[in-house]
Amino acid sequence: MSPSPTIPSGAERVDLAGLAGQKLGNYRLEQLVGRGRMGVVYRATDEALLRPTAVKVLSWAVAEAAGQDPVHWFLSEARLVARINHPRVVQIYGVARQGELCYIAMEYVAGTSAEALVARQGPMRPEVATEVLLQAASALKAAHDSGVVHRDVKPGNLLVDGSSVVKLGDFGMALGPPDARIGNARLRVGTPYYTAPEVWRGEPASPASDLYSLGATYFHLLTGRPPYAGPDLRAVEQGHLRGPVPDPRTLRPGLPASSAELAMRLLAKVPGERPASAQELIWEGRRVLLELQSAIAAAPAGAPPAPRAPEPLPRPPAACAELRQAFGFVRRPFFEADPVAPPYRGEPFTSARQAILAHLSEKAVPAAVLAGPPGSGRTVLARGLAAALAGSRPALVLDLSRADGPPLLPRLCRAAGAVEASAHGSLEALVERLGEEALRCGSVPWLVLDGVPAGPPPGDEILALLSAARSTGAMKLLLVGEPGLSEKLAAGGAPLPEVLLSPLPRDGIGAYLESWLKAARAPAAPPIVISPDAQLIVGLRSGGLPGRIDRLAENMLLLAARDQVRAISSWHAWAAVDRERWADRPPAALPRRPTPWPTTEVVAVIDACRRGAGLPPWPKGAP
Amino acid sequence: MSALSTIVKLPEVRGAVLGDLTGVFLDAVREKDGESIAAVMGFVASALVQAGEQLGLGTLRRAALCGDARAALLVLDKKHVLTLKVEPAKALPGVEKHVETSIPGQG
Repeated sequence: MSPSPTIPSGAERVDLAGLAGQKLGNYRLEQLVGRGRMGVVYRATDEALLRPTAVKVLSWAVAEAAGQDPVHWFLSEARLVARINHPRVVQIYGVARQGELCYIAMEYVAGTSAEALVARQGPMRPEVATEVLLQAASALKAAHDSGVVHRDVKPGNLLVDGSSVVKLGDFGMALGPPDARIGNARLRVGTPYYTAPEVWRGEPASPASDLYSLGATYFHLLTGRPPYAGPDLRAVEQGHLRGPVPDPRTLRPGLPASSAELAMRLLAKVPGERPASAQELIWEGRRVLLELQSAIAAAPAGAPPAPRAPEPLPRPPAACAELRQAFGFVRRPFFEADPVAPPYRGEPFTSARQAILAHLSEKAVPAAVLAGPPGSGRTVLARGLAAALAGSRPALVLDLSRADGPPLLPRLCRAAGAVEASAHGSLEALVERLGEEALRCGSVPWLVLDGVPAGPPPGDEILALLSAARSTGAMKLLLVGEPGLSEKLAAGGAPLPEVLLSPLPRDGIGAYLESWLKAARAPAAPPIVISPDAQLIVGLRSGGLPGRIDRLAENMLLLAARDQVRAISSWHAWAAVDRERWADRPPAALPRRPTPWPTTEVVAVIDACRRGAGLPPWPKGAP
Repeated sequence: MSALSTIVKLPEVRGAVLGDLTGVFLDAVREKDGESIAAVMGFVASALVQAGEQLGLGTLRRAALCGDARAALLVLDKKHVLTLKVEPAKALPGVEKHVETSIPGQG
């Protein structure tokens, strides 16, 4: 076994970028992951504790150029950060010197920087950017409470892990050389794009200048570029010093006003016009986040995430050209019902809505289950309830159907604007945060968890939430899933009240179809007639589930558009499928009506349907 | 409508469909797509019944649709809607007269 290569000692200069594979103390350097003004950062493994670690190695050249004692500089940074014990600040494990190299071992964040995320995926959704802002603000609050000004807040220093947890790193500028705090601006500024005007003027950095930098960072996350992206340093400086505060909506027109106004307030030229502290920013940010979450609750289920081109919320999808031209559809029919004003408001939705409200208005009931098979309309109903309540109380909606999503409790924390102290502290932080909101609004917040998995056993996080809701009364839970969910969640105790969303009754299917045709077309469009036999076949094939009716009905319309008829007959209902949508298929690829129609087999089915509806049989000898 | 079989014997009546006001297809003579015609004419007849009430016509019995080539005569009887396709269009008055005399309640 050959000995491990070690870092050369002595005064010889070391290529800091070529240390991969070598060992510093207990740390095996594995891969260069970043370069900063003070040195380089490696991903490493702590071979004693067997945990991933980030190791920052000092650049001699920079230290010497700044006329600093590098050991003192490094130790100071490590001691400074170690003072800020906060889950949103990258933690320091140790600092040491080996030969002529100094290094800091710190928490390794498995993820990427917010800057890289924006570069790769484009501007963030406003609620995502606001969550990042809030987490960074809580880190800054901890730093400011410890008497530390970061001085280099920027997207590149916000590290985002796979669960969307944000950590503030690189406090290297927080101390810096003493003469960098006051004096030549070009020597002491952090990163020009994010530096506050007073710092450009040579005044000392302060908590308010950190908030400005965080505002510039927020602007970047929302729009994909910093607020003053001039061609050279002088133009950037002039922008910060004298340029008008940019409105992010000029770059992203659909951005919600609350989000844009918060960014602009943080970018105020006068420090006194910014939020007074990181704590005040957290409060304002939470309010903005709740507004954004309420808007999301009102958006249709399955709305496309992270639109690169900004759009106002929510916009119903447009109908395809065939349906637009043939029938005058102005929005896509039978697709993504608007939860606030769904096309269909009849039974069973009205009764289910009233039953849920009745259950959850009882003080002793912390949770209720809305159960229905997939496609029963349970998601639209639950989101509609949350949206309707959003004006009077906080109501958060989370979709749990994504198996690859981050854990539930951290997601809820971020949605609620709570900052958890640790991975295990999420529930406490959430309860505390919801309690604050309950006090502020005078009503208990609702959490709507859609797509709760049916398979046993239910997740520990959901059981923990239920337990917290029961014992604290800080929240009401509406759990949306398949029938029987209530018993599975009872875990031996009393089952939760369950509201079952039944399939549409036979006579409700016609009303459902009609309401969609009315809602999705121009008011003056000529009528579309659906024959009673077509409605009976749709009822038979869909089992009364709106999700299946929707696919059948849209495909029926596409067939009728191709045939250039305004009467939907039994053939259209028979030929359409309910497992996929045909909107992207060329009309020529759609099935053709056989002659004669209906066949003997179909007449037998129609007769069975007619008997069930109390109608006479299909006429003998017809067609 | 029991008179359907006699009316369709008129040479100007090229086809006939019997349905009801909800559009249910009940019978057809010389018509390939009786289901669609019954659905559309059920819809039309329901609208005309409402229009007739607005106009104070009393119980609606018939409505004629006349094009430059063909015509159609809607005959309403309680809940039933009979649609007669007439060609040429100028034969419409004669067919209507026949309906008046052969179908009870249409005179």
